[in-house]
Amino acid sequence: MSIFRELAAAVQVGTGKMDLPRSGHLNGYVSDSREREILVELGALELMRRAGTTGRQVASYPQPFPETRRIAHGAPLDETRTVDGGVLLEWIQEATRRGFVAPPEALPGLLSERKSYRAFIAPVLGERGRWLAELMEIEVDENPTRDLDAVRTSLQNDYDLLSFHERAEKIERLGRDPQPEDEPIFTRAFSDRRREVREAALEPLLRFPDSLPARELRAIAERAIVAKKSFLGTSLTIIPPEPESLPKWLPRTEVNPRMGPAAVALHDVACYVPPEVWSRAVGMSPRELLDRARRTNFLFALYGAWEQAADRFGGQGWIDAFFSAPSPENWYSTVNLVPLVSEALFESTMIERIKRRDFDGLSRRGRTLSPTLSRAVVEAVSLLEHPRYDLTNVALELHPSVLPLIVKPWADTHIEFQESWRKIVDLRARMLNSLE
Amino acid sequence: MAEWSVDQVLELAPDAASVSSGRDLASPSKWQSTGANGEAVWGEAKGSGTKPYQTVVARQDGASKCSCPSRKFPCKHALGLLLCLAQGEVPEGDVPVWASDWLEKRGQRETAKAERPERQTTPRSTEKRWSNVLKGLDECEAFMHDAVRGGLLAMSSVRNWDEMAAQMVDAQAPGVARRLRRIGETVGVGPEWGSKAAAELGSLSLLVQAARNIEALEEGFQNDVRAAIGIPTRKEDLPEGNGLVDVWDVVGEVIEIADQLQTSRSWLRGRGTGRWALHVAFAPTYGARLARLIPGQSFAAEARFFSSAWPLRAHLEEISYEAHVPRDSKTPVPGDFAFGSGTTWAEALAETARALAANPWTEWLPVHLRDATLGFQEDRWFAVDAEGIGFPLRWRQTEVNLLGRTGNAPSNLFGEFDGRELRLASAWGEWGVLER
Repeated sequence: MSIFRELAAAVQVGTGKMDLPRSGHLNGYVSDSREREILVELGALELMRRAGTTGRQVASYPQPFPETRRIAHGAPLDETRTVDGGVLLEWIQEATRRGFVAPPEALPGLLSERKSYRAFIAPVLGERGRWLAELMEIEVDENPTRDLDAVRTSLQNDYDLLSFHERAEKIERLGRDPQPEDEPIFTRAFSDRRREVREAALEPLLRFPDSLPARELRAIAERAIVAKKSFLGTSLTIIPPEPESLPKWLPRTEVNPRMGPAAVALHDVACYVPPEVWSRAVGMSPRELLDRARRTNFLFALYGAWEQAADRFGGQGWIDAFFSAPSPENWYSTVNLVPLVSEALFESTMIERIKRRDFDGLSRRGRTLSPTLSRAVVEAVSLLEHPRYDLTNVALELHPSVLPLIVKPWADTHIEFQESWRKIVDLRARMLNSLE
Repeated sequence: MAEWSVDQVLELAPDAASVSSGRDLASPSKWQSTGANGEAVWGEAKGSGTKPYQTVVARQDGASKCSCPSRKFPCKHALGLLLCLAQGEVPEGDVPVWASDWLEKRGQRETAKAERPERQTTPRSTEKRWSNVLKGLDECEAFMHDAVRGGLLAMSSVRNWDEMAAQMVDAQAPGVARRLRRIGETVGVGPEWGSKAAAELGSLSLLVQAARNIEALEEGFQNDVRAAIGIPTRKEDLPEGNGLVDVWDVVGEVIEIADQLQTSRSWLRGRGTGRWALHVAFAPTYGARLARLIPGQSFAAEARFFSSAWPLRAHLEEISYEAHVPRDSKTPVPGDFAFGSGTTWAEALAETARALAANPWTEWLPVHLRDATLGFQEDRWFAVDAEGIGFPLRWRQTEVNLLGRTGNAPSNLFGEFDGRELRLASAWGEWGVLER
């Protein structure tokens, strides 16, 4: 062991507990304190080490293969962050069609900051983009179907040969779009020795109604909710499960002051049960159940959990119910179901809201609004005393066909809106020019 | 009225994520209302709550106040608002009460500061300060000896080190405080923590001994000891006749934010002399625009070096931009961005050894590698020179951006080196220029 390491080890343990011989490196140095001697020697050795460092032989990371497709030099992909409106997606489609790839300077941003677009960017990454994705450990599905077949085959045939990391990763990938034939794979993974593999298998397995965990949670949920019919109507009784009785594999939430242990137990079960289980158990529609839940002591536990479950397991009836039902007081949703709401319901609900000058939800749809809805917005805004704010906030979602309606008659109030549109038009033009 | 360009606004951003977030808000459609006058620009931005965030920015120096909960400074709202201003998208208006209150209080503070008599440094006050420092160093040494005697394993609580660091701040030795906090963050964390902590303790112990014997040291070295302790240098301390006139290229810059202070270290290289110079600027995090030099700038100036055993830090006078070379990060400008010829690690390490021999507390030294690439070994990225020798990099977004731009083709790399790792600040080549 080098002198430095010996001294460093002594300092870790405590020089009072060890008897260190003097190394003789600092023969000229005299001190009345052994600790001072040790520290000065360490300082001198560290200085010599820093001054004498030589580095190490390191091979350069291999460069990517040369690009075979055309590079869209100058494409202002960074600017798409400030406009949205599908400009980037449109460019990706067009670039793919014409055989272009993204310019090098845009690749890091495309890979690390545009997570919501990862499912679409593969065709425009090119050799350098795929190379960069690999070293950043970012997965980009170039051919999702083909890749998943390979994952499936690997898990079916080579399960025992895979490391637990590989198993967990492949289970997680397969779980994004599980097929009926995948149930045995997830069942096997659910009883794996390693926790990481079991956790990866739980959620996809819960989507199979006859799987063991799904049946177990369903039974708990069905016992937890009782509907009683009387001449006054149907009342709901919630009997939360005992926290200690919950399966050990169920992900648990920390108990917080807003919800006691019983409510948290109920919430944790409800998060992982398809919401229609509850409505079937009591013979109520999702909307009725949401209304009834308000009269129980478990409103927040159930509301939050059902919303998560709707997002997790789908169920158009529930998604639409959440959208059309008024939110409870002091309720703050962390799940955004607006993009999933059925088209007809969204349109009819928003047209009524727009008439009341309530535009909330329009921009959260995440895509261009229908011409009908867009016209309704423009007409409602025209009646506002100060239309500028509301119009510019939904500018990016309005259907292009309504632009002529906005040019007049509010010449003095539509300027910011026109600016937003002008930016989009300009950006689109520059994006497409990069593909010439 | 101070005008802002987009580049100047983006330079205020504390990190790359803030640049991106600020750009997201650089559109009038993201603001409920905006306005500007000669003194300030203000706006109300939609946030996640029901109330909009209120942001006001002083046009003169970029100081800002925002009601958002972000701890970054300036926050993304201030950046977005300034970007709107720079893009000419903020109308003139009457300042609202919530903004004028802040501006008024700020004005009162500035007036009070201006009226405060300037503190003169007299020999007696210098002596008193030094006496405080020495007393503090005695306490620090006693603390270090206790730590060493009892063992660092028993001192893994950061609080121990933070408390002693606070005492060093009281003793007017902030440089020592910083080192103690750094040691506290190292103890018990990560592999090799024992060696790292022991090395830092040793270095600090040497500093304490040097401070005690400062009278026996040469003047330049005395200044290095004072600088390492944290006693600020002043323009008045610049020795006469120590200036070097040259055309200086700003090669790279590192910005740090700690203890409510922003520090910019800009590294310059003289075209005629090849000499390195370090320009340091400070600004409080709550306030003014940091007076930075932007990488890629070039100007003629006289650099007056502060007295040191290894002079690096300089004050710039008589700056003339006639020799300015325009900077465009997308346009490759080979030759004009030569910044000298660059070195290999062997040459840089020889220089490092000389610097450390002269001033053992030199923290960062400039290293410009030519024909360098990045390598990957043992889970870390390395800066590899043309001879295959590498040193670890502090991996941040800059390296990802570099790999995206270059595909790891040989390039010029510039960074700060501390004898252990390289902090990359800029890179350039035929593909263009990349900074931070």
